[in-house]
Amino acid sequence: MNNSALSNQNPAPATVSQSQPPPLPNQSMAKPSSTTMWDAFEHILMFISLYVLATSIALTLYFFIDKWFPGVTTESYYRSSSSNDLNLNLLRGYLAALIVSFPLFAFFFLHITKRTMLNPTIRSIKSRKILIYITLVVAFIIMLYNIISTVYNLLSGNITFNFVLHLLITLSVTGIVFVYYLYQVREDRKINV
Amino acid sequence: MFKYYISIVLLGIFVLALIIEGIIIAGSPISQKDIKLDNNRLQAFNNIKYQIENYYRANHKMPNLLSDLSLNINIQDPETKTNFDYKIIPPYSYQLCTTFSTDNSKTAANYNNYGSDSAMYKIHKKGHDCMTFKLSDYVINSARTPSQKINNTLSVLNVNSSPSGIPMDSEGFGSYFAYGKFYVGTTNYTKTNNNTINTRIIAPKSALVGGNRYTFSSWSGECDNDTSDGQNFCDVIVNGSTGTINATYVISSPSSFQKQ
Repeated sequence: MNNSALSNQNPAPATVSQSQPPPLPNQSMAKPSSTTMWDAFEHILMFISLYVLATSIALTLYFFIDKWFPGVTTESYYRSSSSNDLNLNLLRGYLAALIVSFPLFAFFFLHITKRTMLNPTIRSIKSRKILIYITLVVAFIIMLYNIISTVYNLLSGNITFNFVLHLLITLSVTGIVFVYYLYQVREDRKINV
Repeated sequence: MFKYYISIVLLGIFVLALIIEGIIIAGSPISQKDIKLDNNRLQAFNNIKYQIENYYRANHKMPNLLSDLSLNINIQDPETKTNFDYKIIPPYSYQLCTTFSTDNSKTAANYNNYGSDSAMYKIHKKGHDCMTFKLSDYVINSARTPSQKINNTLSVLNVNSSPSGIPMDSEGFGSYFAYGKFYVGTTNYTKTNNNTINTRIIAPKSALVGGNRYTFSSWSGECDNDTSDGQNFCDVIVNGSTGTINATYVISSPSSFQKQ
């Protein structure tokens, strides 16, 4: 839908300055219209790999925190062989997710960033906007939930070092994503204006 | 664009560090293979243990060779494909040996085995090592069923020699609670039974000491008077009509004798 708006916009300056050769606007017009679906697809893949990557980074860090700074209640229950094996299998799952999702994310992220720089009209793809806003909202909800549960635990006197570290990890992982995409939204709006 | 490359590289280094640390904690894929091999070995040991117990129940003895066990169990090492070493340690134990790929002395010590005799909770070192298993009491007991059940008339026992223990006036002896006099001692007794006994007799309930009749509170040694498990037999193999067995016992006067 945006492309039709763009294609309506672009010919307008061309008609104003008749002397200018038209290939440049034509090129920029042809590019997004031919690659829109692909760009949307790339965005969806990038965001999926971002979610997987961010989740697995956070879960891996949680695991390390639980190992190095165990909480009060965890220690006595994590003694039997089966739960230990289960935990290690979970860690292997996180590692597998990291190993697979990071290259995918890096590739799509760099590719999209490069294309966005060359062709700023990608910023106004609707699916990109939807994905960014979904990400922002979800990141906001996660941070909100964590801060509320921290305040709740603070009020009931359940704050442990382990808990604070968990909070810090959650806030930094979601915070980085949130701040980066907030910045992207601002950049996107600049382009649109 | 350069700063994006830098940040992705930094993120990549961070992720790589996480992966390396994770692999250190979770164990490298190579050592995982060794652990899986050892798990297969322990699993095989447990199967063999189970089969030996079945064999003992059926035959009243342990197999001389592992190949005497049922054919469909694995008695080969998963790596070397040679049979596990097996040795009987009389009376009720046996050893299984093989070449292990890992040392579990650190990890196995952390686990709570809840009193289990499973191979999973036994410590083994890397290389050739052995595990000793003991037949559990219920296996031994279930094999103790007499070939010929005799409801003998031996409810009263003439004690051959006087109890050598100290008579005790007590309400309780160990976990046995009864009123009356207690004697603890070791003795042998002669059966006064005219039946021909093939294997075992039902454990006597009382004895005559010094003209007084005492009930047996407990037996150990060759007798077991615990009626709750249906195993209240004395282990005697007698060729004639009389025989002698040795057992340690606790006897007390009947409970109708109140404590003085």
